[in-house]
Amino acid sequence: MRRHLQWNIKQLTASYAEGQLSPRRLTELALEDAKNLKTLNAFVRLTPEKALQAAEDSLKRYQNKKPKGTLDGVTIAIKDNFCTEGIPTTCASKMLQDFVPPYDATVCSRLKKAGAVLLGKTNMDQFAMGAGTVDSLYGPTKNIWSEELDGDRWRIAGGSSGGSASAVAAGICYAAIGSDTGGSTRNPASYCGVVGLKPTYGLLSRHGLIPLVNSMDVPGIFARSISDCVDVLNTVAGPDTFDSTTIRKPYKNLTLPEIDQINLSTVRIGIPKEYHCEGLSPEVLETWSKVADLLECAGASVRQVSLPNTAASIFVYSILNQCEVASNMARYDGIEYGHRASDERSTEQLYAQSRAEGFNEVVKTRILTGNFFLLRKNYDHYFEKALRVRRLIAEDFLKVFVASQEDDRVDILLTPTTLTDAPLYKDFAGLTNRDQCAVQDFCTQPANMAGIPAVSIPIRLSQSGLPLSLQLMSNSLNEQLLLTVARWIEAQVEFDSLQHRLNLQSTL
Amino acid sequence: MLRLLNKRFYCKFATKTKVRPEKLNFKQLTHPTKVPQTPVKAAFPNTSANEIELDPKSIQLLERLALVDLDSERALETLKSSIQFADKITHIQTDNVRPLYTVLEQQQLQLRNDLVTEGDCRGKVLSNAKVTDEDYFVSPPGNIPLEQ
Repeated sequence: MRRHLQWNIKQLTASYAEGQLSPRRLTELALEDAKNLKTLNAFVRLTPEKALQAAEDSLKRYQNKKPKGTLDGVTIAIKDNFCTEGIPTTCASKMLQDFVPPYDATVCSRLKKAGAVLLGKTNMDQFAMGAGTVDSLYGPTKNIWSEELDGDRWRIAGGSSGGSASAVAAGICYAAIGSDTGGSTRNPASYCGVVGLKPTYGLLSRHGLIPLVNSMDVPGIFARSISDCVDVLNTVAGPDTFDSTTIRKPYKNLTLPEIDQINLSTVRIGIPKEYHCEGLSPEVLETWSKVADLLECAGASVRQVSLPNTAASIFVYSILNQCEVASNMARYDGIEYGHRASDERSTEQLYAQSRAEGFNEVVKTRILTGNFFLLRKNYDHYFEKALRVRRLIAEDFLKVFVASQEDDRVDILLTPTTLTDAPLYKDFAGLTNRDQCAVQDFCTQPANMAGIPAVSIPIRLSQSGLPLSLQLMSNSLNEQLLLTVARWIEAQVEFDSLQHRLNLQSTL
Repeated sequence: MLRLLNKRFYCKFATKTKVRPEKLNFKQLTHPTKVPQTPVKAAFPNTSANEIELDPKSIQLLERLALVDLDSERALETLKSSIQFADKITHIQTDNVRPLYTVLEQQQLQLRNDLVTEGDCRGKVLSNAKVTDEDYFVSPPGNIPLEQ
């Protein structure tokens, strides 16, 4: 039993400072665990040499009593759509299989600067287009909570950042970076029983994050506790000159109150009724009702609200996603980087052939559909229309967060994250990619439409022994209150993200 | 009997690091719940029978613009059903609603001065190209229409 896995980041770094545990030893153990848990397929690439070097440097800083900050020597994994200097960054696609970025994404450079130990790159759906981490060049990622990991009775990790969620859930690292366009951080966090934060759009730099849908993409954070999540957020958030879409307001580090200092009597919680959609499992409903009740018992005002345009969100999302994908994927032509086919008859021929070989079917169909919506004759009818409905969806949120009548306002929305616990791979793989996303992203993608922050927190286990999670959303830049309430709930439910390890030891 | 009880207690303490005072009962609520207990139905038109116009000429145009082939019957079906899926929002009233291009529309886009801030990185820029010649990217002959 690795006792240090039960620690949070503050306890871990305290043990470094006291010399009880060294970053080098911890990194060795983490790399060992990653290897032993290879069956999960959480990582597409480990970087042991760089990690051990970073750990060694960190150790020296602790020995000199000069650690860099809260994340010095802390093991972190990065989704494979964030550029990492000198380390292949593939988006789990054939197109970028050989791509070695000559620079670091801002999120990565800030983590490195803070002394974090980056263990490697994690698995994902190709170009982040999916909700299961089942469409990867490197094969699907498995959920560590599965009843069995062999055969075909294993559970998906969720997606598209399934590798990052899986790595944190398995205790291989303390935190991981994912991305979230329609729920790609919160969805796998929900299935894997870890915390998954989608920050306000523009709070974290997208520089070096290979774009999917520029107007919605945000880097996401996985951790086993809210407190760890805040430590990572404080390290990576804030304006960046390399990303003109970052919010220019200087970032002020969040400090959450201690549990017994949290006063919920002034907090207004909204339950958006439309989030009880068809297909919500009775267990998730029960969990949702209970946590709303707990908040009410603690003095929060809890009431039902309506976000009438939410149900349209999934259709709007599908249109905008495919349009932006069509535009973003135009950069892959095989000339400057990426897969290059051998057809040299003409430039156009080379482009077409490289793309035919480099993209999977999901990517290709989204490009084609996006181009259809963007045709001159369709542009207003689909693309602009979707953007207009997007405003209605965003305004629904504004109406409940900043209503003209004080009495009508709420501070936080409480909803499910996913509609069920993690599906079996064999059930999930039978659906089309669109149905996979339309069902699984129902509760998550409205937040991306509006750019507001949202966090998924694990609450309890289902009958099948799988994590059930809920989502909290707040108005833009209100992460302080969002995470304070999340922390309070975390303390009430006492979910143990690592409880599965005991069950798994026999199968390893 | 007492010994058995003792043993059981011992096991409990030995296997659990933290003893929880009480486990939450998820079936029991203190207040009338605000969470709707039945699904809120969303009314969207059934568009699965919508006629999607895709003649061979439009398909060729799409393929040329996308530089991706619509290479199978299944891909065509997926394209059609994606369009039908999108048709579900056409009835929503959006008169006088402006398109929302970015959620940061209240903020002015940051511009920087038009000055060179980095450079001297030719090697890095070319490092991922499969074919280069001296300091150039290499592409096959241009201005030849795609064979379709």
